[in-house]
Amino acid sequence: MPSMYDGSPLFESGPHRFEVQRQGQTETPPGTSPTLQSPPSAKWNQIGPVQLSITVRGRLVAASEAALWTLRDAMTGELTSSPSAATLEDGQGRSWPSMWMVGYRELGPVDAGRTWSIGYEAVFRKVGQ
Amino acid sequence: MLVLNPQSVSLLNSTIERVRRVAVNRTPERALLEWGDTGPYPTFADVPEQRVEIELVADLERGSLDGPTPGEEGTLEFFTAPTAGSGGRRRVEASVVIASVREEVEPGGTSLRRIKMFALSDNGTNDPIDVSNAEDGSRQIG
Repeated sequence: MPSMYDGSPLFESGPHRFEVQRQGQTETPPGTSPTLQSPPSAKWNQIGPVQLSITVRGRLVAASEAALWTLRDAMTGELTSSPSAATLEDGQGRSWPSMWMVGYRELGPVDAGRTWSIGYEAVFRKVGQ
Repeated sequence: MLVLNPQSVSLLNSTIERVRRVAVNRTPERALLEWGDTGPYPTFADVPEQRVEIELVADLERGSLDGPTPGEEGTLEFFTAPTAGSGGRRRVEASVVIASVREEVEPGGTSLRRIKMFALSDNGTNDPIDVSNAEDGSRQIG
């Protein structure tokens, strides 16, 4: 089963790894004001759970420059053309519904060797958490 | 690629006599090796940046004040054949930049000149080493 986002095997052209980011409460440290109106607090304040964030880092791999652009465009297309949240699947049986792709960046220039490839990092966040 | 006793060696438009060998070494300047989430072994490797270095070693019959200097650019050309005849003769050509020139004396008293060069591609895609049939000029895989 391939890893997918929104039913599209965005990451399958090359190696990639899923990383679940920190989970738990967002806190403000003692001596700071939890809100603009409140006085500084003497204790740690919990202001709510952190949104679930998952980062996928990998490499898009293609046989030609044009084919690599197709893969890159598919990635950025999810940033702009996906108005609703979708399911992120890691290909190992784990899936996270209601995820938004909120960021995509390329890690360095295109590498043209035996293949055309580029490293990337895509960030997904849980909607409504 | 290692060519022993190549024929008719020309470097930067000068003929070099008594060339013992020309070695073409290809090494990775930057290699990619990547792993996935499924196990301990890499699933992808590529070498998007490669270095092609050529070393030419020639005997010096007598002392010499001439020779290329580092940074000079030009063409290296030589011919090689599987036998002493001209059958199967191949022409090897590369655009090069001189990296270093060393002159040495071996224990037996033989003087050597050792020239190291970087080979350049004309467009980044084509192999810097061009091997062709010396008779008809057809391209061959080096």
